[in-house]
Amino acid sequence: MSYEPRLQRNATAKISQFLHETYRTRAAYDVATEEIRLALLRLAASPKLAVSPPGPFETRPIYRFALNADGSNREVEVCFCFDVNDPGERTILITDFREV
Amino acid sequence: MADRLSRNAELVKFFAQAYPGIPRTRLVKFIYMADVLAREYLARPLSTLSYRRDKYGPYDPAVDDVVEELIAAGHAEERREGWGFGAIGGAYKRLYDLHRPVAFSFSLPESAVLDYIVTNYVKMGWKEFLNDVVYESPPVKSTPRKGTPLPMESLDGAGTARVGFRLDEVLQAEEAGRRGDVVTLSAFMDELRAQAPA
Repeated sequence: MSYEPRLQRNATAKISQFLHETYRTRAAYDVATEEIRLALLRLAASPKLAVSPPGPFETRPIYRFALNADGSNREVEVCFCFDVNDPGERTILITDFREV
Repeated sequence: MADRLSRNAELVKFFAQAYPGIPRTRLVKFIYMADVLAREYLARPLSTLSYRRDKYGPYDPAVDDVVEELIAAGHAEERREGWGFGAIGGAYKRLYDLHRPVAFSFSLPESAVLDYIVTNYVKMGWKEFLNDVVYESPPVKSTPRKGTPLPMESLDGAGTARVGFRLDEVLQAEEAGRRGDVVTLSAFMDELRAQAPA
């Protein structure tokens, strides 16, 4: 059963900054943007793809995926949680992003 | 104006609230594990206790003074409860919270650390908690000799380095998310496309 991904502004700012600093051409930027969209949809379809490290991040799973937009393999990660305001827990909230 | 409890006394009260009748050794181990996690993810301890290796792992006799502070302030009472028979028996010192609210000074990430300890360890059996959690923590594992101070500083930032994300930033983002500072994936994609380089 799929979830709806939502992104907190802290994460969107980091993703946007990463894309602009890493992919200087329009073509690479567009491909990377689409790769991120598909990766987050994959995560929403199956949050079990993420890992839950023991400790305070046990309820804040981390999902790693690869970007190949400009021919270089780059691994990035997002941290997310299940939305506590959503009684059915059908939403995941992306809270942070980083390049590995 | 209410008398302010010390940070250590706040921690003792917090765990006495979470575990009614908490024995002294378990209390110290909970504070120790809170310090371990806080050092790993916040690069600073929650308490000012200085642990050394004792019979059942980490201990600081200064906790006695902290318990006394809490009792003197009217927030808790201690009861001695016996166990066993005759020569092979003994007595536990159990601490009971007296249900007087205090304004805890814990920050959001500190509260997350404490919440993790309560959620995961309060109902865990004593032997399992000692053997699988406390004795497996790096400071205890690296300190086999009784009476030796535990190298707590070696933990500072280790969890953040392992995980890659900062707990305080993630918690702030969760909090902002609860306030509605979020965007849907499709709306964010539209924003990214609009910002694409020429």
